[in-house]
Amino acid sequence: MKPSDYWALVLVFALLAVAPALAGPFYTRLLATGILYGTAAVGFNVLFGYTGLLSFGHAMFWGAGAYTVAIGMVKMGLSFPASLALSLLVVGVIALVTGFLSLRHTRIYFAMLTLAFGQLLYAIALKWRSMTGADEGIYGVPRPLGDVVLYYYLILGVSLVVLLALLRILKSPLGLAFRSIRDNPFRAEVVGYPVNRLRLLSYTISGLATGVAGSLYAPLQTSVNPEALYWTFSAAIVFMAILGGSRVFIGPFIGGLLYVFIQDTAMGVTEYWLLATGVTLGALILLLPEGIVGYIWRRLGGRLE
Amino acid sequence: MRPVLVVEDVRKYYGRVAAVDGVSLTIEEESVVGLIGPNGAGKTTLLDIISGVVRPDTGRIKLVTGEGEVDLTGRPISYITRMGVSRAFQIPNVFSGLTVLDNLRTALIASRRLYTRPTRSYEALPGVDEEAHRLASLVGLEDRVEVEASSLSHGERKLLDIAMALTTKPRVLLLDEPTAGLSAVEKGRIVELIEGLKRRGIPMLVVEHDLDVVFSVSDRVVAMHEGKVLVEGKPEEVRSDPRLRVAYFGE
Repeated sequence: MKPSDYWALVLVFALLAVAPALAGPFYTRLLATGILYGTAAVGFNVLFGYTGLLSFGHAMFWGAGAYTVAIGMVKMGLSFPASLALSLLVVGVIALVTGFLSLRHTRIYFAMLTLAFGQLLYAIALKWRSMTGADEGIYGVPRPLGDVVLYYYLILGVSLVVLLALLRILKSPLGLAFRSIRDNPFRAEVVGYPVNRLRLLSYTISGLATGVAGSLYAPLQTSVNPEALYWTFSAAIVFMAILGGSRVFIGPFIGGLLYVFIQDTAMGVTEYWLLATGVTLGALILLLPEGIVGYIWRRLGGRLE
Repeated sequence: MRPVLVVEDVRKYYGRVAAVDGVSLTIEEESVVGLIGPNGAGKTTLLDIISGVVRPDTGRIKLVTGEGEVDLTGRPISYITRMGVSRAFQIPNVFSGLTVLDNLRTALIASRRLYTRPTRSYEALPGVDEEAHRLASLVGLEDRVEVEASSLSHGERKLLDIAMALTTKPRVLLLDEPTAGLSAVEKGRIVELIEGLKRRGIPMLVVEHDLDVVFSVSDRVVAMHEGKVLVEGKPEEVRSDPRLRVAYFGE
């Protein structure tokens, strides 16, 4: 039997649902971080793996989501659902504006523009002390449901909804349009697709999914700081997608989970954990260019998207 | 017969060089116009202008429909395709990472504007799969529908390219060197396909280097040289015109 995206999703989330019973609070929190990283990476991959555009600025959506929820709950006194709704609005507007401007170009020029917009937001977060707390960030973000394990299940539920929605879109005519644009944008235009508009749509969907993950991250950490917007996190999201495999839907999600655990393990072993993480990830990508899940998927007879 | 596509005094300059220099031609319903000429005559540039890839400096492109005339001059490619002017390319232009079936599905989804329905699976759209399989059969690729386009032979990709151009139920079909780089057997399949499309009444503009092919499938032939129309008429008239020999072989 060939692997299916839906069954892979069900299997992974079923395992994640029983995980807190086996893991202590520390690993539950680590897993929650991995789920959010993974969701952000799947969102990123809508643009990268499915539409063929490499963004180096996805931390702006992650960070904008995290900051908006933190500001909403701490500075404006809004409830968590209201803050989440506000963050979706803010991330959506940022995606539309930066997408409209960045998508005037493709390839490396597009990547550089997204990087520039990401750094612009980082600079704003760093300088607007009264709103963002500058380099200290915002502390005391309330965690909905209080308990880490309960919040873990909220994260798991919301992530599942986001991933199911993305999978539905990618299996729809719109998803096939994205893949056609990725494969041959000129031909896509010749057969009648409004390529620029569809790229903007993909960019916005991608940004919103990453933004939702970021919005849930601030209450998990009970804080947010400018690191969430820094370009290194954009690069980390790219890494997660490639590590898991950008041509399989669930690949970047597994990439996000693995990234968190590789990083945590390396930190426990050596003070040169950044180097160890980099070497491990580099070796994995060199040995398995289609990503870990992509490799397994192909071995099981599945077709890479 | 009624005209379906009218090209009026079209010019395109690259610097001081006129790639297309005041070309006018008409494609009538149910007719095939062959466009010939030596390399650099401006044939592909003219096709690029008609299909919206290149904007002309002057001149007009008009599509004549039952509801009236539509000005296509300088309009985006996607608009021109949706209006019914489809094109297949000299170097087959397909979606290499998609299967034959998905290539046809995506072209049908684009032409029917079904991509705005993100809630349905693209494999379950009413009418799309049936039409995709019908087109695959029409061009002889019915046994290759699950094959990725990157694995097809050059000739098969040409056939797929033409099938994709047919997904719009074109009012006019533009074929750019459909037999270029093909074996004799593959060439025969393409000629058979063009004749089949002609019998179905699809008007075509065929740019072709193989003069035997173009004279056999065309109702009218237009010969270009140095961006201008050199001679036009029935195939036998153009074939025997001494100016054609001069253009191809010199004095």
